[in-house]
Amino acid sequence: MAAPPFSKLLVANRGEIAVRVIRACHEMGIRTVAVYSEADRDALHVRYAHEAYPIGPPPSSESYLRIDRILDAAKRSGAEAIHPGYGFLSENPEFARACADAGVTFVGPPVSAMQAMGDKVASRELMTRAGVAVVPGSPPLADAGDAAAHAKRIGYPVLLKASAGGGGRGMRAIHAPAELPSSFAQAKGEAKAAFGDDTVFLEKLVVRPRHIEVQVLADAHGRCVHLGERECSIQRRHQKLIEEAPSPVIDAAARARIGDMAVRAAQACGYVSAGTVEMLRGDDGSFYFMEMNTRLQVEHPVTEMVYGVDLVKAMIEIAAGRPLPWAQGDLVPRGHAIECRIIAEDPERGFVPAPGTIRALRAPGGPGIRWDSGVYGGFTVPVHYDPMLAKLVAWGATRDEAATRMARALDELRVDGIQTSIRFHRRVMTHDAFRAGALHTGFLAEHPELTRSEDDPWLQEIAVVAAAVAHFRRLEQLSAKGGERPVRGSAWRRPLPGWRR
Amino acid sequence: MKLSARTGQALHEVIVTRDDGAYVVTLDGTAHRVDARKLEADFYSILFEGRSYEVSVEAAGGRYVVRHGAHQQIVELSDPSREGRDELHRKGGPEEVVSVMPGKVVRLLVAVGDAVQAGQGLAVVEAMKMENEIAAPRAGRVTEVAVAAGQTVESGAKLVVLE
Repeated sequence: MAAPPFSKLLVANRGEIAVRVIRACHEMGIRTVAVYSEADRDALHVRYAHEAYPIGPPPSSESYLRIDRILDAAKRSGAEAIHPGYGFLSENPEFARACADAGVTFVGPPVSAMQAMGDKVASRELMTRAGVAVVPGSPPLADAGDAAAHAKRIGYPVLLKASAGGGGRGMRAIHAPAELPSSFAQAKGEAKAAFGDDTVFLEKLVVRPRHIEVQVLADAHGRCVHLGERECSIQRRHQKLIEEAPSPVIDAAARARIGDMAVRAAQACGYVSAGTVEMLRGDDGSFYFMEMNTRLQVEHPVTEMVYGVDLVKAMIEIAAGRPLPWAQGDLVPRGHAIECRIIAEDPERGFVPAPGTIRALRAPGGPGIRWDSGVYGGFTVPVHYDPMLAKLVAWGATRDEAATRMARALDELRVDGIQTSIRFHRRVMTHDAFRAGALHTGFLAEHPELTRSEDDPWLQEIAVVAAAVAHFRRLEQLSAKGGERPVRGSAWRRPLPGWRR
Repeated sequence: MKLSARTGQALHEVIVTRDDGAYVVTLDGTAHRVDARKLEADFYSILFEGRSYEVSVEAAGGRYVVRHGAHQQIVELSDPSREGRDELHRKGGPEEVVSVMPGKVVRLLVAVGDAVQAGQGLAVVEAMKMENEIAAPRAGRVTEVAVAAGQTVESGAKLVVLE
C-alpha cells in the first residue's frame, strides 16, 4: 500500500459530503478532523471523524463559512490539508488563498483557475478564445433592424433578453423574423418599466435543453483527462434531483467530442484537481458551454460507479502533487448509474422544506446499491442547511437494470418521521418518458403527475389493518403502564388467550 | 375494540381482538386472522391472508401514516371508547412551530385561541420568491403567535405555539 499523501486532513463541510470525504481518507490511512456548528454536535460526520472541533453557532455565516475558525481548527489539530466538499467555501478563492497563507494544502484548484471560472462574463470570453462553444449572442441592440441582422446570424429561434434583467421580464422568445419588430418594442418597453433601462440583447434559444456535464481530472504535471458525462436534466428550481451516467443520448463519438471540449476548457484556465464543465444540449444535438464548477459535485458518485475511479481519493492525491495514474485511453465507462437525491422536502407541496426528527431509517442494500448518507434514525435534521439527507445510487449493466434496481432500492429505503422525496423518485423510475430517456430541464413541468399528491389505493386494506393493530397495541401498552386501573369497554378487558398481563 | 377508519373518501368499520398471540381484525364485516409483529422502531411484519407485508406505521394522534415500499397511505382512526378517544387526543407538551426557512411572514392564518387540525395552515412565509404555507404538525389550540405579518424571520424562528 502506498504511503498516505497526508497524515491528517480537515473536512470543512457537513452532512453526507463530509462523511464521503472522511471515508476516502480512512481508506487512504489519513486521520480525519471534522468541524461542526452548534446545530451539528450529533451529526454523523462528527461521529465518524477521528477529531472534531466546534466552529460556532448554527447559521453557516457564523460557522461553516468562517475561514478564521476553520483555519484555527486546522492549526489546533495539526491538519496538513483541507477538503472543502461542495457548497460553503468550496469555490471561494479567498479561502483557498488563506489556506495557502496558513501553510495548509487546499484540496482543490489553484486560486487563479477559481477566479477565471468564477466570473461568468470573463469565463465566456476565455472559453470562446479556447474554441469552446458558448450560447451565441449579440451585443446590446441599437434598433429592430440591428436585432434582425443579429437574429439572422445567430439563427432562429432566439431569445430577447433585458441587459438589466431577471425574473423573465423583458424576455421574449422569437421563432420567426416576422415576430421580431413587435417583440422588440414590447421587450424594450417591459425592460424600461421593470428596470429603468431598456437595453436588450439576443441569445440563441436552446430548445428542450438537456443539462449535460463532463467530469475532468487534472494533475499538477500537465495531464488532464475527462471521465465522460453526467446527465442532470431532472431539476426543480435549477436544482438537480436525479442524475445519471452516461447520458441516454451520448454515444462514444459524442463523448469524445464533448470530453475534448471539457479538457480544453480546463486547460484554458490552468485547472488542477477534479472539476466539472456544465453544458446545455439542444434537441438539435448542439452543445454549449454554461460554466465550470471548480469543485467536487454532489452527483460525482454516478461517474465513480461507471468508471471505477474514486474521485475524492484522486483529488487528495493530486493535491499532494502526485501524478494521475491514467491516460485517457484507460478510462472506459462500464454499465449505467443513476443517483436520486433524497431530500427533506415535500414534492407534493411544491418542494417545501420539511425538516424534523427522523424516527426510523432503513437504508437499502444488495447488489449495485450505494448509500451516501449524512443522517441516521433518531437524528434531527437541522433547519439551517441544505435539505439533502442522502444520495441513493444504483448501478446496472444497462440503463434499464439501473432504473429497475433503483426502484427496488427505493422500496427498501424507509425514512419515517419527516416528508421526503422517496415517493417522487419511485414514480420517476417507472415513468414511461424517463424510461425512454426523453429528458430535458422542463421534465417536471411537462409531467405534473410526478409531483401530484395521491393515495395508493391498493394499499388501503393492509394500511387499515396495520393502523388498527398499531392502535390496539398502543392502548394495550397504555393499560399495561397504567397498572391496575381496569380499562372499561375495551376488547381486552376480558381475559384473552395468549395475552398475559 | 371497535374503530372507524377513513382512507381518502372511504370509511371502514374495524374490530380488533387478540387471538393466541395474533390478532383477529374484522374489516367491514370480514374477519381475518392477522399475525402482526413489531420488529424494530416503526416496522411491522404482517402476515395477512398468506401474504407477507412489511410496513412502517407512524402515528400522530388519530392520523396513521402507513408505508409499504415507497408507497404510503394515510389512515384516520376514530375510537369511540373513552380510553381510545383520550389516547388519540392526548395532549403532548406545548409545541413550537418554527419557520423552516429564512423569509418574510406574508400572512398569519390563525390567532391565539384558535383550534387547529393537523395539516392546517398556520402562516404563510415567503422565501426564494415562493410562498410557503407552514402547517400544523398536529391538532391543538394556538396559545401564542410569536410573529407579525410583514416580519422577517430567520430559519428556525418560532412562529406559533400549539398546545
